[in-house]
Amino acid sequence: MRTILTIIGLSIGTIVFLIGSTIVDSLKMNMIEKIDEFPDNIIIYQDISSNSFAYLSKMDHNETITPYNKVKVSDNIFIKNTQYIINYDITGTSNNFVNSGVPGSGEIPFSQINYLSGRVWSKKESEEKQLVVVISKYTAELLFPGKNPLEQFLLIPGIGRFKVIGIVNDLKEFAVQKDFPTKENNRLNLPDADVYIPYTTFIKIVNEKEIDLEYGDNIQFVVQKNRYADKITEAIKKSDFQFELSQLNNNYTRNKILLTINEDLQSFNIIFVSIYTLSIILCGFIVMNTMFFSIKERFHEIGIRQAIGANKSDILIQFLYECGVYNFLAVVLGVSVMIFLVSVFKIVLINHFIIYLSIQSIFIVFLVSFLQSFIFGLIPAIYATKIDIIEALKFE
Amino acid sequence: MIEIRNCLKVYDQNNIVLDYANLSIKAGEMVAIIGESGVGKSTLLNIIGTVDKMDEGKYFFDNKEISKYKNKAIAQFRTKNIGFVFQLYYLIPQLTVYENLDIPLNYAKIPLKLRDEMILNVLKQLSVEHLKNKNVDNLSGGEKQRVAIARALINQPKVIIADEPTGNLDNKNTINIMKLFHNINKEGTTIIIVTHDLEIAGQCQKVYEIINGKIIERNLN
Repeated sequence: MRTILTIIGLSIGTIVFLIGSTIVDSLKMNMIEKIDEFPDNIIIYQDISSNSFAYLSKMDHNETITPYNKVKVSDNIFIKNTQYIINYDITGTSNNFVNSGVPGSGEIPFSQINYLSGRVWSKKESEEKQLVVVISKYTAELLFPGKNPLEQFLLIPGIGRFKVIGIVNDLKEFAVQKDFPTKENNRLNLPDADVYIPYTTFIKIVNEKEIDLEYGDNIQFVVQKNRYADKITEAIKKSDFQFELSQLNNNYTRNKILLTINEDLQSFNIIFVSIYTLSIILCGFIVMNTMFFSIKERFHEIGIRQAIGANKSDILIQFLYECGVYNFLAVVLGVSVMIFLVSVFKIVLINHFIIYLSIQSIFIVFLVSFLQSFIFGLIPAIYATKIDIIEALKFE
Repeated sequence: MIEIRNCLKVYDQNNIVLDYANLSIKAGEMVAIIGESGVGKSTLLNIIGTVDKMDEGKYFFDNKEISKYKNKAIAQFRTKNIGFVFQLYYLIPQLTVYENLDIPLNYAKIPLKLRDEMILNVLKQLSVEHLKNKNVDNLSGGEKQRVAIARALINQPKVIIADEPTGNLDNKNTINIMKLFHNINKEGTTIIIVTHDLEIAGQCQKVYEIINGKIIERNLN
């Protein structure tokens, strides 16, 4: 009975750790799941080398543009989902409608776009072609003076109502920098009123509405295409385009968010590891206590074993082995219980929360259990080897 | 084969149990050690069996001085040369007969494939093969002693040391166990029996009595 209780005690220690690690891992998984809805790294690049290519005509659009295109920019950086961003360039408003104007100009790396409030659209919003929009600060001031534009709607004639989900900085400042000379920009003193919508939404609009998008139309789109990414790469190689890689690590990159999450979860980890360490020590003393009781109970048996040929190392190995078996059974029991609990929670929380019991955690408990049996079983086992054979044989 | 010279064994500083005693036992002999309770019969037996050490003196076994051996070597010596039979059998409870016989083979590092045959042979030799899978807790006294003797014989030791082996048995079982010892002795195994039963001692070739710490050969006839 004592052995069974010891095994149960040890398995509770195992479960404590597995619960902790499962919570941390599950939180992480769930956060990553949410973050995965964001594009990995977003960059927009506008080329001014010609009058026409920067504006997407229907003809341009018919070119194949893959939403999940992966473009190698340098040896270290991969830019995904480049086409998720469209610079919808406006210059003013009239009756809250977007009017025509001179399109945005200048070379604008997306790393210069910082979210002032709100958020970028999620992958889901993009894939479902939802009418969401991110606008620049200047656009916000033009369209929603004195109001918080977030959750407001931006009406684009002939297209629909776009919900404002984020506000970014104005890019005009960047456009006028000498490193990025503009070719045709007659409004250098004013920022562009930029509006960004998901590329997929744009495609949907173009396909369904059959809007003729020509230069000079009321609505003009600027879209990044694959070949511009190649140009960036080329420019970097030629060093005539000072592209700061670090600029990509703005506050909204996926990697940076993941890093932040990892840092936060590290605190959880420290707490759970502390609890687990305490439980290991506690369980270790339980093991030690049980082993001492077992040796006391089998005092006579130890003498018999020595009389029939056991030497000290045989006795040592026997008790370490028994201790190891207790721990192993306890871990197997603990892991089984956890697998059962996780399965139940998975059924209960289906689609709401990801429960994740990692193989790594299971491996850790087995490893720790092995070490625990050795460390806490060693002292009783050594004690057993020191038992005097005559005393043990006399003991009844 | 066994020679003990000037053996001194003192308990609690004043209680001299063996007082520079001497003993010589030849290979193949069946010897009884008798004496009153507390005179040191079991102590002498434990010294011969190397589970106890003398305070002074020398112990030779096949002309090798065992008293110089260190713990590990003594354990190896014991496993190889000595088989113990106790009055209260001292089988490991909750294990089967087979498992009890397997323990000394395990300590002697006998390969697994040989063990089964060795166990079956010794069980047959003692006519207890039918008890092979029985738990030792369920055996009678006579059966337990047979199994204990089987365990003592399993490693084919040169000497069997039996401490009051019939002390807990009825007459019938006593006779059977003594027959068994005689048979084992006939096959060349030296047997040393500690007993206070003169009838048992009388069945042995030599009888030694411990008196005042000295070992004296007695003729019971």
